[in-house]
Amino acid sequence: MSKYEITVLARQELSAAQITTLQEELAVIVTKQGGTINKQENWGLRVLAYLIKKAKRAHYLYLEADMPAAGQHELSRLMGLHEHILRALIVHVEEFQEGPTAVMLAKQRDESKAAEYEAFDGGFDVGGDQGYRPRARAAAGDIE
Amino acid sequence: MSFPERSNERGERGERGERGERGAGGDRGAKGGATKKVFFRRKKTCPFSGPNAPAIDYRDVKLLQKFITERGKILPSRITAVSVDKQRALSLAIKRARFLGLLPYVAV
Repeated sequence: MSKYEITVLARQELSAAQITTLQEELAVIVTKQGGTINKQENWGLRVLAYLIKKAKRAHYLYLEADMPAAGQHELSRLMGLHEHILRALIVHVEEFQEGPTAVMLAKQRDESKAAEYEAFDGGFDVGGDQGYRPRARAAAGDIE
Repeated sequence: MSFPERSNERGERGERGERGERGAGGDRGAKGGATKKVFFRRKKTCPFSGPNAPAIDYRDVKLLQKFITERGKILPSRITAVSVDKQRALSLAIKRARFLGLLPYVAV
């Protein structure tokens, strides 16, 4: 048994439901080959750095599996034949990294930033005397 | 190690420059005065060695981007000071990231 990190690029037009079924399919293949799954992640729809099979974007799926070498070859073959998969990479590793991968962490960071941006009320309270600003004061209904 | 020798050489060259090409010495103008050491470079250390160095990971796009040019070429270790074995791991990681479409082969 060896440890493998598998990254799959799936077609961008797939729906969320199709993505989950694809994820399940991959998991089934791994278990059928006598392997176990350590971690499974969905990195979401990402923009590709260059066109892959004429696609500009792809859904990224990631899983870590412990399985025999023969199973890895079979998985690689099946992924190559799969209609919804643009490309896949299998990397053999000595040890799995703990916790979510760098991509997931970056994604979470982006999301929290976006939430912060949404929550921002749009201005700073400068305070103090802001000088003669008739237009701003008129807008605030202070003067005519 | 040839490091001390080299620094010696540099010192000599600096002196000669001062005597010979007066007025044209850009180094001299920057430093100001007759300092012998016209050029000092801090010794760089490998960014992936040490206690809390980041792990080289082909999924970590933000990290890998620091080690490629704007065009997408891998930066030589003589510029980034990455050690030999880490540079090998780094170049492999960049190539994997390229395969996955996370980094470009050629950025226009």
